[in-house]
Amino acid sequence: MTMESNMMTNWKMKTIVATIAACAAFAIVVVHAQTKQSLWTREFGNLTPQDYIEIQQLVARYPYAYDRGTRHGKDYAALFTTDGVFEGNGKLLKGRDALAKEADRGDDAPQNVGHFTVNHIIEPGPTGGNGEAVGQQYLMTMSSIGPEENGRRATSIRQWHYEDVYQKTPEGWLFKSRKVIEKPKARPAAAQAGPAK
Amino acid sequence: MPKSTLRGFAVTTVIASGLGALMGVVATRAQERGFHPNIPPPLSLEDVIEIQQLVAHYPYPLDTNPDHGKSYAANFTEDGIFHDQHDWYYRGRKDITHAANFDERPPSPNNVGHFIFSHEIWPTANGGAIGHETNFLISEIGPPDKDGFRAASIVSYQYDDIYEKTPEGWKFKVRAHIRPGVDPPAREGDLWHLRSLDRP
Repeated sequence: MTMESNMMTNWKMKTIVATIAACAAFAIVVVHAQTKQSLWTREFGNLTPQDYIEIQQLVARYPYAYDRGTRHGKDYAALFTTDGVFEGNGKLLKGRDALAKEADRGDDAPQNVGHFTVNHIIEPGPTGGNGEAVGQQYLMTMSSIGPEENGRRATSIRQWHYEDVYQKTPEGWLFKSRKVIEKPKARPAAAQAGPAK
Repeated sequence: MPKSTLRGFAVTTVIASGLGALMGVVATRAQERGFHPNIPPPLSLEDVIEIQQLVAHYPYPLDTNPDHGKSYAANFTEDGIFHDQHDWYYRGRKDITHAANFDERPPSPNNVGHFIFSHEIWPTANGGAIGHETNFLISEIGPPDKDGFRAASIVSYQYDDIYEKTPEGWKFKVRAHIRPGVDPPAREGDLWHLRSLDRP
C-alpha cells in the first residue's frame, strides 16, 4: 500500500468518525428537545408559558377587582368575556352588565380584601389549549364574628373552590365561566378524620 | 537545533496559544452570563411552571380522595418519600397510597382543606429542584353564632420538597410536612427507616 493510499484511508476514517460524532451529537440534541417538548405538551397541550402566565395574572386580578369594586364593578366585569358567566353561592350572572352590578359597591373600596385564593391549577381542557383552558382554585372568604375584644374580633372562614373556563380573546385571556362551590358542611363521618398532609 | 524541531515548537506554541485564547473566551462569556461553578444552572420557564402545577395539583386528590389515594401517590416518584408531621415516613407509591387512604374515607368531590401558598422554587446542582410552601389547615371551633357561622382555627404548616424530573414530568422525590416551632416526637433508630403503617 502506498503512502498516498494510506493517507486517503486515514482521511476516510477521520471523515467517518467525524460524521458519526456529528450525527450522535445532533441526535442527542434533537431527542432532548423532543423529550422536553413532549413533557410540556402532555401537561399543557398547546398552551404556551406565555398563556400560562397570562391566565395566572387573570386569576390573580380577580379578588382585587371584586373586593375593591373599582369603576362600579366594571373592572371586575372586564375580566369576563362579553357573554361570561358567574355561577354559585345562589347566583347566576350572565354578561358584563350583570357582573358589574354584582361587584358595584357604590364607592370604590380600595382597602377592602375578602377573597384569598390558592392552589391554582391550569389545564388545556377539551380543546387541547387552542384558545381555551380550564382551571381550579381554592378560595377562603373571611368575615368577623362575635363581640369585639381590644378592637379585635374572631374570624369565620368559609372554604370553597372555583371551577373555571378561560378563553383567549383579542383582549387577552378572560373568564368564559367561573363557578364557585362551597365545601360541604356535613361531610361523611370518616372524612372528618382525614389526616393533615 | 534542527529546523524540524523548531517548527514543531512553533506549531505547538500556536496551537496552545489558540486553545488558551479559546478557553479564555469561553470563561469570559460564561462569567458574562452569570455562570458560577457553585451556583446551579437556572430552571427553564417550563420547568418552573411544571413544578408550580405539581404543587398546585397536590391538595385536590388529597382532599377529595377520588380513587383511594392512587392519584395522590402519582404526584410522587416511584420511590418517593412522604414525611408527615408526626414524623412518619412513607416510601414508594404503594405506601403513600395507603397513607393517603388510611381511614378509607369515601370520595368527597367538593371537599377542600389544604390551602397552600408562598411557593418558592430553587434549582439544585444535580439538575433537580427544591421548594417550600406554607400550608393552612382550617377547622371550625366553638358554637355557631346567630347567623350560623363558627369561629375558625388555623394551624399553619410548612412543606419542604425535593422535586425530580422524570419521564412522567416533575414529581415529588421527598415531601416533608412540618409544623414550624414544634419538635417532632422522639425518634428511634434510623431517620429514614420506614415504619409500619399500623399506628400505635
